[in-house]
Amino acid sequence: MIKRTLILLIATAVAAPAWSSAADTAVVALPIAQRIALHDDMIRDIAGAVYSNPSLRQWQQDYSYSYLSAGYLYDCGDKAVDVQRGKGVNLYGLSADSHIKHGSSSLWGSAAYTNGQQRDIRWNESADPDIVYPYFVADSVGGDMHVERYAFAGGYADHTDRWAWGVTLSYNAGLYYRNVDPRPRNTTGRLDIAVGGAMRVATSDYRVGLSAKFSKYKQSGDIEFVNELSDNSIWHLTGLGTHYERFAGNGYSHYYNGQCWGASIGLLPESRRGAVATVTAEYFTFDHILTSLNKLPLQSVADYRVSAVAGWLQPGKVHDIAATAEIAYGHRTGTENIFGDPVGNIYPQIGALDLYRHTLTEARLNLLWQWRPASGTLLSVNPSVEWYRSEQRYLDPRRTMLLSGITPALTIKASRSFGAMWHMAMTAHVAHTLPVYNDSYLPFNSSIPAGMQAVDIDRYDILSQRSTDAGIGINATRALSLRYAIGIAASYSHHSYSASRDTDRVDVALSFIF
Amino acid sequence: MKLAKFFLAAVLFGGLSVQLTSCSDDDEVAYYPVSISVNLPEEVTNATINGEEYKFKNVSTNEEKTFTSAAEIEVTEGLYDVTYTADVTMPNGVVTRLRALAQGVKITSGENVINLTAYNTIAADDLIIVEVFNTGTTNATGGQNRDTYIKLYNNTDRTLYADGVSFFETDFSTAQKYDYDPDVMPTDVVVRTLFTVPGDGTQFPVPPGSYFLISDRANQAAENSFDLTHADVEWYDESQVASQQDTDNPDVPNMIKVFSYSKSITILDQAQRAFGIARLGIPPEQFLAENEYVATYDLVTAAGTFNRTKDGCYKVPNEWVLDVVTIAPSDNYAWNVTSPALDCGWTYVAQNASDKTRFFKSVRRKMLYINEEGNPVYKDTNNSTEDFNARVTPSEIELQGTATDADGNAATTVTYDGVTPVK
Repeated sequence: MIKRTLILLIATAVAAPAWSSAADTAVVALPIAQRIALHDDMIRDIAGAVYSNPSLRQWQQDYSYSYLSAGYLYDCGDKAVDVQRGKGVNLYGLSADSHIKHGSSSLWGSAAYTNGQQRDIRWNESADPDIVYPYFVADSVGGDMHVERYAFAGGYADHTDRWAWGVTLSYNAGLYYRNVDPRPRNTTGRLDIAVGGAMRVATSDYRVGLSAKFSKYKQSGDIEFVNELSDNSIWHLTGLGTHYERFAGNGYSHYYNGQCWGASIGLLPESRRGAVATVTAEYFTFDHILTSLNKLPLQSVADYRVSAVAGWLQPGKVHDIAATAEIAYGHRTGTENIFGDPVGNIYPQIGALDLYRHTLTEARLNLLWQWRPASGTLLSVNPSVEWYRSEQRYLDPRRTMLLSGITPALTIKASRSFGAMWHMAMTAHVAHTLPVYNDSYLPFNSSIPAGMQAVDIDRYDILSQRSTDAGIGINATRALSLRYAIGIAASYSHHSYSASRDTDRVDVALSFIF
Repeated sequence: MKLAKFFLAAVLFGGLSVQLTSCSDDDEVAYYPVSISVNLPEEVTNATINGEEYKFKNVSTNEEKTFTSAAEIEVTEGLYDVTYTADVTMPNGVVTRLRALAQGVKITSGENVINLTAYNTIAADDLIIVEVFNTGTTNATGGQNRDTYIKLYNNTDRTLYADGVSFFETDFSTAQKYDYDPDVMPTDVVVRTLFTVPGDGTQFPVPPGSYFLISDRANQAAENSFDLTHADVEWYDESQVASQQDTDNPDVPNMIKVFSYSKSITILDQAQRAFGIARLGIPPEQFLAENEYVATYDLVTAAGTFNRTKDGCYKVPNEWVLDVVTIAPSDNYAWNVTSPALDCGWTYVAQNASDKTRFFKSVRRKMLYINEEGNPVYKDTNNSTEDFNARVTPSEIELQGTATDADGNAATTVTYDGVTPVK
């Protein structure tokens, strides 16, 4: 209760500057109803990657926009697509977000608190699976996991006619636990710092910017079995249905310790009219340490990702046109350290083997056409097509999984203001994933628990088939005055996979906007 | 505008370059050649080796790779247990099997040379251990019953005598490895408990296909336990601690206590020792006088390295040993504590040293077949991994239909070895 109160106080504090700030430009001073309508403009986010440079983010929007929100999310299926990530989540949360323009300065901040459950996770007791994969600590029982997450972020940017600069700082923390055996308790923390600078290109509208980021990640975990007569086996997974046999049953206390360095170069016209481009590179590495074995460094990961986005934005009075192309490549190498005979309880490291590889290549073409038939009315049509290729390999014994697919998608959004008070938006989307080329080599190994091996076999069977995601959403806001409004948003989507696996997603939120 | 187009082109070119360079990714793990030589025992120098097998078990992953020729051995970097087996035909036509073991062999990118010493594993012509029940049972409230036992068996076709057979427990832990100096393991077993069956040589006959039951306490059944009054012998301690006294069944002969680590009562280790039987070649007094073992070793901790002295234990020469069963926690096995000539493997009842599910479980030797006399013939290759069924229901629980767990659920089947049912 104290934590939640603290979050509310912080959220209020984050939004407070917006509450009290005095607008000093015509755009900033727009009535709330018009700012809500502007916020529905999809062209604002189509080149979102370029705003990862905090010095360029000040040109993402010309108006102040802040909200406090309470919401509930249900995203769950009868069966899991990937049992290591569970059947889904049901979460409720409070959040605050603020973006304030004041003269040449921009200030933004956010805070969020989320509480709920992750449903029926198997063969993984580690949190943040997308960060620490493939090195999970696992047992054969699993179950629901309670989740509490806290997020804080803030940033500041300013500019002169020639120079621009900015900085962002964010901290995300999580607590994941279960109150029945097996009882994992994971705490996660991630600190992100990014600084950026930009300069005007000659006398043009363009700003070219450089940014650098650093992140620190840590996850500490303990697994406890209260029932001493239960099956209290744990394993340290190494990817694609393998595990580190030697330390099975050991290492109930462990942690992941990582850091990430990144840089980007980007191009953005201040008016958001013309070419946009950015290239981002990140290098992330972490070690997985078994605390209970004298901090034995069991595994490590090195992961680099490079992405490039280029596009053209052509906003108009009646019609907007935008197109972006994106290509991204990531490569993750998992290293297992090898240890000699223990002397006492100290294991000397005698070598290391790079046994796990994951390469992920993605390309995406995104088009946007927007039509404003009247003031306060906007129709957005956003077709896109995405191609991906994900190849995981374990080198000895050889196991592989290759998945690739192409996903054409269409999002249509219609929004309209009704008088000076009401604004409504409706969204519909559909995406259909078609397999392109899939292949796997996951032979059964009798010395490894069958359930552990089934994780990736099942995942492959599902993700190598077609799937369809379709949904609708509605958002209604009512202005209470020129400065304040309340809003309600609801959306539903259904994702249909093969083998009768379906997930439903319901998202509702109530907001106070100012 | 030109600059914008140039930037756009550069971004796309950069992205494509990234994709192209990814194709050169190295996706093979390195294999390193291993040079291996086997020192054969003298008695087989003129024998014919019919088939050899080199098995490399990766300690990290449990993966096994088998080679039939020393010339073709290539493995990845790592820590390995290396086993050598060979079927040999002696000049007189007798077929036997050689076995060698090297544990914790480091394979690295440099030169890898392994020297193995092979031992002849001719089938034992004496009693063997068919079961070790070293954990005991518990009552409903968790209290431990002192109902542990060791069961011997006559696997031969002639009557043997248990008189003079000594039962021992090793001093070294199978879950904690130290480099003891001097290292006597190639020639001796270092023991901390030694009890000997009394008798004049003919007092305890064990006919072919018969068992010989050595119990801690030959007591009547307690809650969740079973009757042990039919035991052939029991080990009894005259305790020096008033609060811990042993019980003695006067109807069951006591074993001769040669030595025990305990000044009170001798309780079997429940997870991490090797157990064996031997026939001492000398009287107990002489054995104690001539075979004391004192060693030093380094205790390595996070706080530093400390030199320690190991004493209070004795050496049993390997040639006196009849059989050894190595038991280690399945999650914490560190090493074998006897020569590979005695045991090349290990088995388990507990998952770890504090495993509360270890009770009501024993290790039992695998039954191969029923011979013409109707007696089970048990597997005996001096490899506890291959010869024993781990963590199975004890035979006395099966035979008496008593509790298989603390809740009192009774055993309903009888097996030869914990797995194969008696039909």
